[in-house]
Amino acid sequence: MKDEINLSLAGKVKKERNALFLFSALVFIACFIISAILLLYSLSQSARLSDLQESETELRGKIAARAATKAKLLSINERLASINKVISARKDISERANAVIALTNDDFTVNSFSVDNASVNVSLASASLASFDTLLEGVIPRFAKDKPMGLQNINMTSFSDNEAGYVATLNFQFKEKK
Amino acid sequence: MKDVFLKHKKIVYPVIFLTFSLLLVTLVIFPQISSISSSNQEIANKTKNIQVLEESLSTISQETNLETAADLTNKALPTTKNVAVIFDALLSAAGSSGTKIEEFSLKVGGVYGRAENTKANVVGTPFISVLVRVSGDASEFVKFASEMHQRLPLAEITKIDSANDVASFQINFFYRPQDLSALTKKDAVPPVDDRNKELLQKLSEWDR
Repeated sequence: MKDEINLSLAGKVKKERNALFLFSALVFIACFIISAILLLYSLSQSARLSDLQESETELRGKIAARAATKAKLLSINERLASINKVISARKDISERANAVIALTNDDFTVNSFSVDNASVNVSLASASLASFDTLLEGVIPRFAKDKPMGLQNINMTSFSDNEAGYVATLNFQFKEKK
Repeated sequence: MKDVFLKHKKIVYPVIFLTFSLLLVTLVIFPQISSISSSNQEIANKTKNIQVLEESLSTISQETNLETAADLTNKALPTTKNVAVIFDALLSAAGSSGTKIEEFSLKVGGVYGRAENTKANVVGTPFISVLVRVSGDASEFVKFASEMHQRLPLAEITKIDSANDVASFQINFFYRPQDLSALTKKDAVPPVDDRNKELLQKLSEWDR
């Protein structure tokens, strides 16, 4: 009876040892195969990297041979970007001055005018009071109605007469250009 | 010794296999996975670089007639404070508008060294402020201002004061220094696109 038990135990232990041997061998083979695959892949990556490095060096060499053209092209693009910014951002105050002076006809003389970013001041002289009437009652209200170029308000800051005729100073306030 | 090995070989082999497996995992598999990951990243970067360089080379090879464009852009936005160019532009605008330059004054500022206190208002572009006194009539003054706006180098009139037949103009002339050595370190060389070609066309019309 004791011998039977021992035989049975011995068989079980042997079976377990065989399984352990098989498992460890399989783990080792798997690790070996994975290592081999990774090493091969790594080698192929290194070769690819080396090829890419070679291509990059070759391209840099070709570009270096045209360094002057490259510098010129980069400079042109950089300056065009700056020019574009300047053109978009700068203000043309002559447009407003032109629009205000265009309101007057031959009956008027522009004595003086000043223009800045927000306003146009103009001093007008005319021998005819009727011309001032036409300007103040007809031309300027029509101009103001259209509200060109961000016009906000118009003030007559002075009106006087002298030997030569009449002089009026008008102030046109515009929205400040940004 | 041999007897002990033979007696326990069913245990010794698994121990050896598992030890070597562990060694392979720690000395080969993990380091290779890390190395492959970084080399993949490097390959991706290199591929991108090469693509940029190929595009740049193609652009450089195709672009022609860069001299005119370079001259035009440097005239529009000079790299230095060039007083002669400013004077030419004023005289030319005066000639076209029927006005006459009576006098002009400008403050050039630093001519050497770091431009730390350079005046700049239009998106950081430095400028030279010029005060010009011009003779003519009101409509000619307006025409002079308009001419200055459509002429090279790029300028912006900030104030006009006229009385009788003389007007004073406050004009800012833009310039922009250039660091060519820093610029040429760039790999990407974009072509002059259609928008910029239109801008060049406009600048050539203003180059009078």
